Amino acid sequence: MIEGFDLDVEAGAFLSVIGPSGCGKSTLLRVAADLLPPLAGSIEVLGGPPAAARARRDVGFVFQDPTLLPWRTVRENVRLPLSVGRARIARDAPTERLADRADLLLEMMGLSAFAERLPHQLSGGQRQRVAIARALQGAPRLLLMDEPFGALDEITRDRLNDELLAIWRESGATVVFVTHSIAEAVWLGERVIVLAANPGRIVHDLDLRAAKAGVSGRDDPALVAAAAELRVALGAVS
Amino acid sequence: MRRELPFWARALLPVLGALSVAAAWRWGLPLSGVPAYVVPPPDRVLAVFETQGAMLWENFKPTAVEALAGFVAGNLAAVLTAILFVHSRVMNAAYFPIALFLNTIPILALSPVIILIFGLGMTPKIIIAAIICYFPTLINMIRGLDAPTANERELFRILSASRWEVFWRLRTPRSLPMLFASLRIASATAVIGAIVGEWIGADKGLGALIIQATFNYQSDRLYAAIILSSLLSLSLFAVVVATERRALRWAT
Repeated sequence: MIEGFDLDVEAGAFLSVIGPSGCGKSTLLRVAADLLPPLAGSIEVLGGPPAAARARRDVGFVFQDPTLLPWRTVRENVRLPLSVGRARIARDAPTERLADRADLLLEMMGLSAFAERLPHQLSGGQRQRVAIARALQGAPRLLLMDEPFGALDEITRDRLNDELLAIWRESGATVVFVTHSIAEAVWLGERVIVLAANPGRIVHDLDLRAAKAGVSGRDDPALVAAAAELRVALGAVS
Repeated sequence: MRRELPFWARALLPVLGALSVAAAWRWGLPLSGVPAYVVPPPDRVLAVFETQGAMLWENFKPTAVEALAGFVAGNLAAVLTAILFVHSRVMNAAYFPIALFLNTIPILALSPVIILIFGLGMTPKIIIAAIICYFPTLINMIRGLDAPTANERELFRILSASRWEVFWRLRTPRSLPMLFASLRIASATAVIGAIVGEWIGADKGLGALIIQATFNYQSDRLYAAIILSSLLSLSLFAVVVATERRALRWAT
């Protein structure tokens, strides 16, 4: 499905991935998370095979759907990574992966007051916050996000964008963020790649670090220009 | 949207509705010329509960035990089979068609066979009640255990969950709404199974009482037996619903 694909992501980087439906954005994340085998070629995640990174709990994943377990309270959902796969963590993961950071993470996501609620009692944005807190439970070194804010309204989405940036800066984790939104890709990413479909390949690779040095807000001319460039690249492939 | 009726109306109307049917039964039906030995008036049915309470109780007990035991055995067997089928494609492919075939045999045709094998005691009635509960729960439980979404399965894989953890922490809670849906059905069918078993061969139990009362034109006894059968199903149903409310508070 994905072809001629050669991509290196620097440790600690924030990479946005954008492209039309069927270009393999989700497949890329799933191969990195060891949910799918690569059909050809090789992939290294944090210096080893994806399965090893998964076993060490180095990888956190956030789906578009929050995928909270409805019978567990918010806190219990955030603690899920501690209650399953324990045998595996004990053998393969560093001990800090076992530390319970649920209350800390809930506070960070502004969810302390909702810790005992059930998922169906939360709003869509709150549910996605819980999903992010759960992904951060083991302090992963790589955070894979598959259109995590795609189903949210724009106001909630903008706020969660900024919270995610703060988390990324504070944690030093590498983030690979798949999105449909050019504005979101540009605002979040230090680097944006554009994928094309049939076969999936990188058609544009934009480094934004220099352009973003003095950026103040979403409407900064540097970002508007970057978005225009990406729109042209996307227009050529879809 | 239609406005809901006020609380007093929702509480009172079912009672009034039942009373109106009873009144039609008491005074309307005799006017239409139906004799009392075919349909007894309600006060005569109530009188049976007063004057022959001990006899009714003696017939109620075995049916209640059979229905309850059949309910537990049939549903337990169904849940265990569903777990086996969901975890083993080989077992599923080999034995699910047989389960499907057995389900198509009418229980009335199967019951004499079971009575022949197990005799006239309580065991065959329990087995018939169990069989009648088994299949709906098997189907629902298989679907329930397979209900976790693709994302939920991926989440558990990312967390390196063991097969046991996927079963116990994901599949089992996911299956509960479907399990309870079939338990509600089984609360009525288990009683049917026990009564059908008693029809074919028993000297005690509500099913036996129904047959005897019919052949002896004791319509008041017949109706009392019918009411008791219904009460038995209803109490089993109430227990299922109460358990479901406690277990599935999250599913609202």
